[in-house]
This record gives sequence, structure tokens and C-alpha cells, in this order.
Amino acid sequence: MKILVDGKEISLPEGIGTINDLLRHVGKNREELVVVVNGEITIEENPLHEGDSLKLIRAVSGG
Amino acid sequence: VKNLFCGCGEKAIYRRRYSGQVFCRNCFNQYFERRVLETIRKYRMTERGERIGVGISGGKDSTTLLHVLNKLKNRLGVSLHPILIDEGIQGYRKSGIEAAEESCRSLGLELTTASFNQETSHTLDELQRTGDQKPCTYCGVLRRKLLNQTAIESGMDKLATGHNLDDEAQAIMMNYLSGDIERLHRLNGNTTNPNMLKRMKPLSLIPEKEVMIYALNNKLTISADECPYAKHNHRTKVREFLNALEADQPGVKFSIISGREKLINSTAPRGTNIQTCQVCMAPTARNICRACELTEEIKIKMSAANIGTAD
Repeated sequence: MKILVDGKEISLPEGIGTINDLLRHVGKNREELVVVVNGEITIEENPLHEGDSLKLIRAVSGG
Repeated sequence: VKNLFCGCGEKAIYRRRYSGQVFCRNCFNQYFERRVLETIRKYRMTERGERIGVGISGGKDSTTLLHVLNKLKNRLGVSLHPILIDEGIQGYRKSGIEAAEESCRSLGLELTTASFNQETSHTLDELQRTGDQKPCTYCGVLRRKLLNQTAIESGMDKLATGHNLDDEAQAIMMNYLSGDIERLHRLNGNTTNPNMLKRMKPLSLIPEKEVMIYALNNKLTISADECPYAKHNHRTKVREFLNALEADQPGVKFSIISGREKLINSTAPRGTNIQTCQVCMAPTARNICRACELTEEIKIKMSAANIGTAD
């Protein structure tokens, strides 16, 4: 399955079915991100589909 | 695997892992605004007729705070007066100022601004280039002082800031790490000294991620720029540590907050002698407060480095 993450196309290996799986795969902490899929804020437990476009928005700020 | 839905039947946008609740866009907004109102009431943060200064930076926390307080102001019987501090950070602060101005315009609120440059004759960029302290030390101490001073001069009764649950849990953990139990007692910082305005933190029981979801869900104009000095910050390491813990054990940040409340209720502060600063009259544990000490240090340092001042 191919999806877009922050504008970059990536091919997902077998076994990655949800957004949460993807975040673990790319080493991101779900506590520090809000995930937007095809323009909508989405729960990390939701499944990914071919051609989905994801934005990973940093929820934490420094300073 | 199927999509999750809110109890009302709409597609869910958020799942609170520490409680298992699932929310759609509308139910999330209702939950969030109710949570802020409950926090204000729980800690008796406001009284009817009060003028509330709201510290605003244009970031997600303070912008969300201003918009939610604006929805609640009639119920609470208070008026809102946003205050912005321009630290003088090139390439960072400008987008925050523009976002804050846009929020104030859209809500019909008048924005009061003050700056490090007016107060010390130097921007934070200049201070960090020449001074001995880390930029976050100058920024934290001087911004707090300037917010307080501007709010008092503007006739405010209270000062509201956008600190969220994560900020509070980080502050508590940093005090534990430095063994500073006295500071744990002083964390809410409310004194009866007329030179220190009572502070309120209506987002202090809401996780940072939920604040960002509210800002995005309501399409608020926010600055997403990261402060260039944040990487120098000890807090950043504590934040990453706590978020790693929270990912494994949802609710750990709430436990830190409730643990601190139990601790301060069961231990008396060791009687730190709170005095009045000999320069600015603000409450302090020493003869001269940290802000005045830093301001004096800046004058000496800048003078030695031959960097001109406005006066």
C-alpha cells in the first residue's frame, strides 16, 4: 500500500494497517502529534487506505 | 480494523486514551469548553465583574485560551484584555504577533503590547549574544515580570495564561529533579502582595495534544513556529521523557498533578521568608528579585560590551 506522509510518498511494509502502526514504524510518539488524514483530524487507531494523504502536526511546542 | 465513531454516531476525531472516551468534532468542542469551565470553578479562579488580563503569544495554547474564555466570559461575568510580550526574537516572534492580532481582531478585543526592548533597552537576541545566562532564563524571568507589570498598569484583577497539563507536569517534574519542594508549594504563585497579580491557568487540566486539536478543529489562526532557543531548554528533555511515559502509561501526567496536590496538602512549606524586592516591590525569597537582578546584570554586561541602550 502506498500513502503520502507530509507530501512524500511511502510504501508501507506488510503488517502496517493503522495510523498507530505507521507512527511506531517511523519512530514518532503519538502523544506529540495530531494526525490529519485527507484533511480531517483522525484517531490513531483508524485504518490506513491506499492513497491516503497524511499530515503529522506537532502538538508540542518548546519555549 | 474499522473507523471509530463517537457516541452520537458521528465520525470520531479523538480518543482520550486515559479514559477511553471517543469524541467527534462537535462533542470534542463541548467537552473541551466544559473542562475549562470546570477547572475555573474548581479552583475558584474568577469572580464576577473582574477584569482578566490574558497573556497571548499567538501560539496554540494562549490563542485557544483566549477564544474559549471569550465564549465563557458572559457566563463568568468577566471582561478580557489580551496582553502580548514581544521578546525580540528575529524570525520567530513576528508570526506570533500577527496571529495574536488576528485573534484579537476577530473577537473584537483590544491588544496591549509590551516588549523586552522597552523594558531593558535590549531584545532577547541581544541579551543571549552578550549575557551569561541561557536565553530561556532571560525570557522566563523577564516575560513573567513584564506580563505582571503590564497587567497591573492596565488595571487588571487577574492574569490568565495558557499553561496546559503538560506544562504543569513538566514544571512539577523539574522541581522534583532539582529537589526543590519549596518551589512545588509556590508553583501556583498566588500571593496577597499587591505588586504580584493573582494568576490563573484555565487549561492546566487539559493535555497539550487536546489543546492543539481544539485549535485545529476550530481553525484558529495560530503561529506554529518553534522558538529557536527552545533546544537549549532543560524542559525539552523533561517533556520528551514524560511523553514517552504517557505513551506507555496513559494518565501519568494527571497522576503527577494529583500527586503534587496531595503532597502540598500534607506538607507545610518550610517557611521560606517571602520578602518584598527592594527595587520593584514584587514578592521574592531574597532581598532583590531575580528579574531585577537580571536587569542589573544586563546593564553591567551591555555597558562593558559597549552596546548602546535607547536611553
